[in-house]
Amino acid sequence: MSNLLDIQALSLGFRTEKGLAKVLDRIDLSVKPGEIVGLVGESGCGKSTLARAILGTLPEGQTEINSGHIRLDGVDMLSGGRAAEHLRGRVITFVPQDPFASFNPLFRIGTQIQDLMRFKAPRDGKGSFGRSRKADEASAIAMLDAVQLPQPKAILDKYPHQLSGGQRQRVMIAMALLPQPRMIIADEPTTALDVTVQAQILGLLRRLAVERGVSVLFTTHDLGAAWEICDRVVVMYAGQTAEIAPREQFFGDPRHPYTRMLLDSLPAPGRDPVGIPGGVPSPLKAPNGCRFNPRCPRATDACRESRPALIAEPNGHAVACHHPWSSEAEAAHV
Amino acid sequence: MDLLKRFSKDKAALIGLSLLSLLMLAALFAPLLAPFPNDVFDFHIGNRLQPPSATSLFGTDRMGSDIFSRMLFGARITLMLAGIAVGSALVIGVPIGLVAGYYQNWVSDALMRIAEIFLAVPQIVLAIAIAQTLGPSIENVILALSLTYWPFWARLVYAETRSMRNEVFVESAVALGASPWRVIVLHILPNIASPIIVRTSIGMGATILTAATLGFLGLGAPPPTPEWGRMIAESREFLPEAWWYALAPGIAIFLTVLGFNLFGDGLRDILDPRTRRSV
Amino acid sequence: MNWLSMVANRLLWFVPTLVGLLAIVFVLSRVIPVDPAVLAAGENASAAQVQQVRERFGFDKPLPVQFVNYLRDVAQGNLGTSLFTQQPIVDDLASRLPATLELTIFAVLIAGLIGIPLGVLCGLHRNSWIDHVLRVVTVSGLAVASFWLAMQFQFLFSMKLGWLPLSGRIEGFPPEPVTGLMLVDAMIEGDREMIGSAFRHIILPTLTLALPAAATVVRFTRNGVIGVINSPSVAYQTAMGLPRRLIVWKYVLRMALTATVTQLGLIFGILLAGAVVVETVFDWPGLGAYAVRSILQSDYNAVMGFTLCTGALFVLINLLVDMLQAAIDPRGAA
Repeated sequence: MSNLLDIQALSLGFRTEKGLAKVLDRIDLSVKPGEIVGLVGESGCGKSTLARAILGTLPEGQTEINSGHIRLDGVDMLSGGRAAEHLRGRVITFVPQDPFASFNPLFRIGTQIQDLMRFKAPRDGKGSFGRSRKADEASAIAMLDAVQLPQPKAILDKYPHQLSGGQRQRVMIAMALLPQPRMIIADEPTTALDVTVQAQILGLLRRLAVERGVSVLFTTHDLGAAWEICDRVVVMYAGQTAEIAPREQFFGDPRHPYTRMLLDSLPAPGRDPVGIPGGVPSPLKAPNGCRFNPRCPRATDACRESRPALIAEPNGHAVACHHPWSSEAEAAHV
Repeated sequence: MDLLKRFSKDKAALIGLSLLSLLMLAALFAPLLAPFPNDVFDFHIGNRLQPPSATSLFGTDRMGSDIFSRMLFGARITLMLAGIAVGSALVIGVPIGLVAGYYQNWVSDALMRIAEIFLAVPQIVLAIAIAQTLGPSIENVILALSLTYWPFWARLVYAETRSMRNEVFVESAVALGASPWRVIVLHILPNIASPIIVRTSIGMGATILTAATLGFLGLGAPPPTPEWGRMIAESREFLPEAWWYALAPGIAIFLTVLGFNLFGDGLRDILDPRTRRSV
Repeated sequence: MNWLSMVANRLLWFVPTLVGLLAIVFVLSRVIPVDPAVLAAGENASAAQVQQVRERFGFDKPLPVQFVNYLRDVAQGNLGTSLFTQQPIVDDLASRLPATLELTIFAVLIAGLIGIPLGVLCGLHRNSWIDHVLRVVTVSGLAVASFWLAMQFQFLFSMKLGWLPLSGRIEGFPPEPVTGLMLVDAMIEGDREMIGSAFRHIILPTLTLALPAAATVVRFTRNGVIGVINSPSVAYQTAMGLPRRLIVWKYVLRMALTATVTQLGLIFGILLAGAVVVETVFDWPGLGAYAVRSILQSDYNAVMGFTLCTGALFVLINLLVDMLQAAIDPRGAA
């Protein structure tokens, strides 16, 4: 099956007063139709920048794209042409990190949904005049019902600050689904929410996506959340792709030392969580070679000199490391 | 050093700094720079209302005095007046704001209420009332400006201190048994210094405008003090013939206030990133 | 509910603020270097006459008692008698208030009509040539002494070019006072010559007064627009592919205008302060010119009355601005 989203060797940086911040360094990533992919990494690893690059909301005038491409359904999303513009809000939609700040506080939820539908709702062949406001409102109400919001009609009359955090994110998910997209970018969609609400929202997002066959690219720093909803996990470290694996292999047989350490840092029964020493390097002074080498217990000179390529195994597990872990070899060693 | 480098890249801030340097030089060396340093008090009626010429660069006034010389001495008065007024307002307002913001009790409420009442009236209106009550003199102008300007600082410092009060480093210093005085001076004051410094520069500009307005209205120093606002007021009856009379002091006020404002904007960019003017 | 409680709260503070203002004015009027009894009795009064006046006005009573008496007088609308006009000060102020209101109302309209579009323009085209030019203009506009600017306007447009009258409100007979605003009254009367004259008279004073206010409006609107443009809500709408014109002219504009409204109180402060000077230079028979004349004639009671009146006006305007603000922002009093 061909990829819906295809990112290859994407490098980009931001011009700052202190020089070029190389935020993404030859990122590879793909999402198949209907697939839910988790993009995992610490804060500042570049995952939100990647999401913004796909959505076309990188800061104008400060961004420098050095190499690579982003293709969605075969259309180049970086060049900013009309074709890419046409896809945004129709083929690809967005669930933001902070649902409160992402609404305009001065307009009713209904107005904001209506404006979205006026331009982005799927129109059947009769053209955009074939659909009335009433029909738009009906489908909005149906969608709010689908995201399990009680009294959806009343919600349309409310202002964003009158809803709870969980309710706002449900509305955001409804707005992401209304244009009937093929892909949703969800950028840390539960970070701003209470822990008790997070699981509900994730479950809802997964169920609706699977029901409708929509792909989801889901960025998170929460491995638990990735386990909950992803089919496949991509690990990023300091702007580089470290490892890509199907969910079971990612959690059962991690190869990259960073992935292992990330998993070890989770609390688990029978052992103490182990933190990763050091911190994420600044993109202004990123280390040469593999950017993880200053924190890596397995680092050698090779890691400091050359960047490991992302090598894929036939089972879909790919890792970018000169000295990857392998379960058989380590077992023999012990 | 990094800050200096950033400042030196800001063209507007550098213009401000140059204007202020010029002003300082003029004030400092007024007796040397002025072609007729005695014209502050002397008059030569036969020479009155002469247009600008090689001898008197900006013309002469109604007393026949050289306007350029008087302007240089005016720079001294302006700087001294605004400096002392803003300084005293700081000396009154900052401690009140610190104490009111640190202790949150009825005293701080009362202090801030008083400050708010002062702020409920445009500064110039209160300053006019006070200056008029006390009688026209430089000292009274300074007093009027300080008395009406401290509430601004009290409110600013109060708000900053309140937000600092909940910072972890302040709470831990309190928990470790540091005296309130120590916490305020060593932990809070250094952290709220930036906004104070930035607004001091802009406040100097505003105070100079207010002081000049008081002078223009006849509430400033009595003649023959070469105060810029008063010089402009004197020129009114000689318009349109003596067009140069008000020109030089007006431009001097403009450049001085502009200097302080540009310098303050530049300082804000490097010291106070929260309120940073967008690049 | 929210709005009502905000207004109630503000109204509750209105009275104590006024009493505080009265206290300041009272203290000022009692520390004057002149014995108020001598002042009231007149310069040529004998010692016995002065003593009589002292007892009649209660100047011999303790200060707190005097303050209560003063409060009672003010509450009854008695601010004393002007030494110069020999009229009750309340009547003097009332007869001059409309002229000042006319000036400030027109100035606020001009500041808004000029400042808001220019501010939006600068905010949308940040760092363009128009933004740079207007930055220079606004920074300069805030540094000019308004009395000097007023004189230069007079010199150029009245004395040299002869386009506009030097001072005053109108030539010939004024219209029948209906609103007290001469231009409006002239329009009600429908006399073209009268309208023209009133209009030509108001141009220079209004422009002088409006310039620093317009500069402030430009700066606030510009920064407001930039703040909103960089906000998550605009990033969300951009990511969802909504048309730029909809985002800017509906959502951004409304946000920026709401932010500018919060500054209206400050702008009225600038205008009231500026009116003192502008009215003096243009001989505009308003409160400010009255105050300056009273100052020059050492008419203490009149100056105190002016201070009180302006303070009350300013407090009232701020109250109205807060109410307006709460009414147009669904988040209520933030």
